[in-house]
Amino acid sequence: MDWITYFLLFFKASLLSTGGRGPFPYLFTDLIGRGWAREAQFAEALTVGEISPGPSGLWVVSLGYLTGGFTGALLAAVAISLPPFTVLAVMRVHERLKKFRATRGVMDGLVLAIVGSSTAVMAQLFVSNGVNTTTVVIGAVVAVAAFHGRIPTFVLLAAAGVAGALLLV
Amino acid sequence: MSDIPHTPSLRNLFALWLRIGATSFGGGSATQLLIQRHFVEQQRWLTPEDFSQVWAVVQFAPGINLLAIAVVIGKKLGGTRGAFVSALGMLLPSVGITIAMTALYVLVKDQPRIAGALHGITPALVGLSIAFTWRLLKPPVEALRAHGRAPMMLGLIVIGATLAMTLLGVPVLISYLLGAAALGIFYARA
Repeated sequence: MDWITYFLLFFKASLLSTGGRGPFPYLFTDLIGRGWAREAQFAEALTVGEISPGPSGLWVVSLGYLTGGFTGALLAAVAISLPPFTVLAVMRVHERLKKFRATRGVMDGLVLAIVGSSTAVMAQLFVSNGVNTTTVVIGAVVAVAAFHGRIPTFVLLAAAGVAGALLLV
Repeated sequence: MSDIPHTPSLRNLFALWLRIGATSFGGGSATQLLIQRHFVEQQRWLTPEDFSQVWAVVQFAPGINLLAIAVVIGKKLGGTRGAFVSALGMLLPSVGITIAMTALYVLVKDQPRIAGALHGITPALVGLSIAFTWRLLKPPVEALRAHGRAPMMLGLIVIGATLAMTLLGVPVLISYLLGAAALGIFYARA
């Protein structure tokens, strides 16, 4: 494994995006393109991120472990820990930043692009996992339940896991 | 922050973040809840207004929002050292537990039932992502709608174009730059 490139891919994914899911399209295309990850490993890592403590964005650390063992996990952890510190600079210029209307546009546009790209890689993940009645029903039911927001995320994932263990073996 | 009785020592700050990082099972929503409960409701080191200000600032930072929140809260309560202590305190236990849980998973992943469970969880993640996307889209879409119907179309075009570009294998960075530039230019001229 070329650890420098590996680290830089994770660092880029976190620095040039925002939020816990922002790095997802980068890592999905970069790591799978190089043969360093399989589609299923993204589902595994995202699941751990939703269950384990701390930000859901730590799914990237789980992906690091799955694709590069302990070294991969540590490099991923360092890569996602650094970009949020730029907020210290943002704090100083926040009042001035708010005055530029373009700033709001840039951040909003980034969110729309993250939504578009994430939807594309999510669709690829869904297809590679297998499209059948059971998977479509699970996806639809969880989308509706999560939209209403009353059931905790990990309960939804656990229920889907049980359904999968019973119906998709 | 004048109505706050006393600011915490670095040690207290570190201890509280360690606790949040170790106990916030359930990902980001659980973590956010615990940060609010501990800092605003129990310790009263931050007022609710402070907390919403912190949220507003981190919207402009790259990377994980909750980590940027830890940095900003740490900076407010303990200066630059407070910022580092807070991020480290949150990350040490949560990263450790995340790695341990992944390692445990690797040990059992080859059992057929576990493989079946993952096949069930993957579409659930897609469903979660649909609901999550809806929430993520709300603020930018409402801002665009305030400008009229044409800007709404611009937003839809950005989503559609970045979706198609990623499916076609265009580098993600180009999609992100396109989205940021399109709305940045629109708002600058609006």
